[in-house]
Amino acid sequence: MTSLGQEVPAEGGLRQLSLAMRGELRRFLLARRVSEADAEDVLQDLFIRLETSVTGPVRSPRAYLYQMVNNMAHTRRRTETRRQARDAGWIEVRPDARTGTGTGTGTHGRGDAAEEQADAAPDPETALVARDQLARVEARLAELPERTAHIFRQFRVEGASQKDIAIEQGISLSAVEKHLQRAYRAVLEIRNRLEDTPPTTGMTGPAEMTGGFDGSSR
Amino acid sequence: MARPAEHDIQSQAIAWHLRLADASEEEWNEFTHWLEADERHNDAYEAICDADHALEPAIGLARQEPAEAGEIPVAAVATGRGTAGRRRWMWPAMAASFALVAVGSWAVMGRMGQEYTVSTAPGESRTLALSDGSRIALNGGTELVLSKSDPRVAELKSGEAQFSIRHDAGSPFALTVGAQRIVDVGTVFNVRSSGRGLQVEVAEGAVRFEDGVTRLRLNAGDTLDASGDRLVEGTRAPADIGSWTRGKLVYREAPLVEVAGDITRARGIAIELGPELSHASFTGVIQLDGDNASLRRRVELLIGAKVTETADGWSITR
Repeated sequence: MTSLGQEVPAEGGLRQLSLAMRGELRRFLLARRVSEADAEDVLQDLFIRLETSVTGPVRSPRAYLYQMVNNMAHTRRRTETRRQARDAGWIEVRPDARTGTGTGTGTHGRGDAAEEQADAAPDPETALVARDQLARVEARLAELPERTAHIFRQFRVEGASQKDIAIEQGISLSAVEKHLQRAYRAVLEIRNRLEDTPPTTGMTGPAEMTGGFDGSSR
Repeated sequence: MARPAEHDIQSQAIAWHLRLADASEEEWNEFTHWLEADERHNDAYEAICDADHALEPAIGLARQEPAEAGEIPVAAVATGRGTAGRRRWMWPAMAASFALVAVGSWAVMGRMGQEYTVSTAPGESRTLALSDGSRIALNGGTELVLSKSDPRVAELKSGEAQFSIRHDAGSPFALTVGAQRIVDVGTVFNVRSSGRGLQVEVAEGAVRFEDGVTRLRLNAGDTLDASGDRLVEGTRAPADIGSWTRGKLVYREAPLVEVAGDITRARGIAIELGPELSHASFTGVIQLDGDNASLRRRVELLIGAKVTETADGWSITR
């Protein structure tokens, strides 16, 4: 709103910047083991997104573009994995509940609306799976020292920053990181254990944009 | 047990995953170098991201169940929603460690004494500039709690405010209103909390709304009315949203009750609405400038009803 003295949103600038950074971003995507063709696709997609979505002023635009591209690389790979799994008949296609994510490959250039759609209303089965998964996570966290589990919950559930956790706990940042390291190792273990069971949970993740860290849940 | 080398790679991948949430451009460059150094690095990084991502449904569930006996449910009180019907937090260890922190479960943590309240009397408005460049315009009769240490959180206790939020993907702005939460995805949005419930209107960008059961994305022009347990989505011309910050009130078929409430907030005039008008609606623009007497005449003319001055405000009748 101009009357509030709000700066003009920075999309124009971000678009320009995405062109100027094309080389670096491409290199990053290749380092992320995205194929050359797919890297071109992602960059094209990035440009379209910057054109079609409204973004407020961004604090560090260059880091922001890296973040976006990294998330897109995650989304792309996950969609691909899901598609392959579906083709191989591992996952039952349910057109009713899955259209939002199922058509992800075709529509994700349109921005994250379609991806966030999965958030809106979890179907009963997804909710059951989530509950089951929460129980597993709880069980695994219970095996960790209480402080480690607490710090992990603060970080991952409450979305507290590492800095805030350090202040709350009266410990150093690197100590917080050590606790989180340990917790994430446990998380990896849960994941590996789940891999022995039918592939359901990994495929029901909502909001592809939250892949890894886009901060939208923080 | 993994071989030491694998173990190291795993540690580095976790460290990167943690760091990238708020990384600078230099760190992204370093990360690129790290990935290029060994092709196992990307696999390790993706494994940790996938494991974390797979937690999302469970985390979502955990977030929905924040009510905690040991905590003071600041949030629940604000909307007049009881805590009785709310489900309990699933992770019991949380209770013990959280009992010391007298803060709403989703809002801020570990910042006791870091919060401060900004409030306006009816008729008074104020604009705040936050340290991160965001701006908040407070309408009259509003109470907002901010944190000194973290400009990215706020809690609206009552009233109305418009938020012009500087976007930061690594640290999204989160506004708590009662048990509901609004997380910006880069945006200007208007929030009103009153006896009628919570109303969110997005003028630019998008926000995510969360109330513990539902998560919705609202884009520019989307509105959400949350009263009781009911959520009603709608649309509104983005240019009309938060028009009070520009000295006018814009309505399209708005209930007169809402119009009256807005005038009360903006001008500090208590308004009594005749029962025959309680279901009437109004379409038009009310300029807020001028003294009370000229505003009264203007309102009278615009809504086509009689506005009389009473001992403590106005009375509007057919």
